[in-house]
Amino acid sequence: MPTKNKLRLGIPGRALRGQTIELLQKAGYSVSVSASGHKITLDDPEIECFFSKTQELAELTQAGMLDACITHKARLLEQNIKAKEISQLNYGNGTWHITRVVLSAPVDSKIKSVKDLNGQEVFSRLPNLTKKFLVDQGIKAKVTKVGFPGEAKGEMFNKPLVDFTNTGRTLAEHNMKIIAELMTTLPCLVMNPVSYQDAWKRQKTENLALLLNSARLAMDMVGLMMHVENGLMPEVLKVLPAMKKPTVTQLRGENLFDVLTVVDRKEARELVPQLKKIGCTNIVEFPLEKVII
Amino acid sequence: MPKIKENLRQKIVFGIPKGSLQGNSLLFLRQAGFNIYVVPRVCQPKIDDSQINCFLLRAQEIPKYVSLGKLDAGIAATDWILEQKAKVIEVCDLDFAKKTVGRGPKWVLAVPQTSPIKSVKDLQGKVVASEIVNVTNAYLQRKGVKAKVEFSWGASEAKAPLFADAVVDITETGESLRANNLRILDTVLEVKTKLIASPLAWQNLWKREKIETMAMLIYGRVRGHQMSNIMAHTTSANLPKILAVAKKYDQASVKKIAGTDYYDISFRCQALQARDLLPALKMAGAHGIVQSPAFRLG
Repeated sequence: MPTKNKLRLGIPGRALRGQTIELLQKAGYSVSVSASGHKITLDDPEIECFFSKTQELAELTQAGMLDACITHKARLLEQNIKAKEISQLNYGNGTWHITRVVLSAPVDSKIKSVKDLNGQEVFSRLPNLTKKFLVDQGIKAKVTKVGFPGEAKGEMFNKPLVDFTNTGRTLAEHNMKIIAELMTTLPCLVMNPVSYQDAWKRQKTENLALLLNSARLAMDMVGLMMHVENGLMPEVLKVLPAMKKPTVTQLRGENLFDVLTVVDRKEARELVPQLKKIGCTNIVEFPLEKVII
Repeated sequence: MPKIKENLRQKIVFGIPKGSLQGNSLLFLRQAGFNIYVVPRVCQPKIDDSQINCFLLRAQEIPKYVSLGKLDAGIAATDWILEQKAKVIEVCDLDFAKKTVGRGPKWVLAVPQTSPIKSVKDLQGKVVASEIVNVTNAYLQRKGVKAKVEFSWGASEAKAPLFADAVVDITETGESLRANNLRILDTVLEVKTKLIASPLAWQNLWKREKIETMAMLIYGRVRGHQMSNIMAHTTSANLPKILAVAKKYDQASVKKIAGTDYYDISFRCQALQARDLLPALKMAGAHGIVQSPAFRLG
């Protein structure tokens, strides 16, 4: 009775927590977190969710204890998880950018390149991926699994380290410098293969992915409206991004058009002065909540 | 001329609820253009409108003072208006509560998860703890149940089963009830936040206009808070399907994009509805879907 039309969803409770909550809110969910910080509730009675570490979420989803979860792409590969990928999500830990898995070494260590790892001991948060990387590089080294946080141990015991990094700040704080990148990784919304066969659960998860992705995309875009004289239209249409068809409406009784479009937030910085120069008037930039292309 | 002078001296006295409704009340008053400065511990906030005096008062007391005409107007919720049987003018709904906008909290009848009480009928002769005694008595009478309603000063979640057989408590997200292992039996009252005015102030044309203007500005902001613009592109083949989806929310405006088989469709919906609407639009074949905040007054 409680499992009927209910999606059991795992939410990352540690590194990806802040960004995941923010994105859920932007997607239109009201998220409440209990005073202890351990319990998460959404205002959707069809979703039953809880916080945990991404590595545990991946396993629980594979085992069918959860229908779906948000975990790291790198965790799926590291733990060889059998799950259906619904969508990658574009954010990281504390940032809205991609996360990297990197090899680093203490600044004063002799290890300056991957080759120097021969015969050494490497600490790793992702031992299986690290072993595979070393084999591919033709390096023989001992890989030791370490838990979170890895940076402190790399510095303390003067060992090369494979760990996640977003801005590189934590590594720098621990006097570790990056030597090589193993892979990039993003949060991934995945489903248990049996749950995936359930049409209702699949639709529910796909809709969640659609909302999360459209909210994320809207963060990087803005809407633009402006008035354009008939004679200037060809030039304006030439500078507006081609992939998004602008909406053009003639203003009643005037030789003026109202042009509305969405553009990349960074593009707008260059576009607005350009449009102004062409002769557009009443240019208004407005925020977006969700964008589905 | 004398009339203008009189107006200059006119002021309305406005009650802002202290406590759970305070945050959102101040938020929407500020968004409506009233700059309010709240100094900690001082219960008379400064407002940049010389025609308004405001007071921060307990939400429970605002309906009483408004009905007596000590306050000309204020923000209050229906639970305390009903509980105090206050005779007030309900100027407009303001759809906000402590944590959410668009859905009101409700007073529910709840018992411990393990309690043998399965429905309100099982409360015959039992004890119910409630902060809103009058409303609870009226509810039990409607249900034909005779039970003793004991006034509770608060923290009612903790009172069952030791101090009462059941409790009537307010819930917005259900978090507190879950944390205290309570099971909801029934809804006693759905609460709406309102802007209320005193019947005395309503007789005074100037005061009435001032209150109605405030109400219009605040109401517009609360509604705007919930509204989104939706724009999407579609081919002519998918247009009927997409219009069928949009129709559930609003009248859509449709424009043909010159020289193509494309249509541009735009309409408004409540921000909360977008969660169901966007996947439905996508499935109906729309693309280039954009949701942006809509601002609306009145």
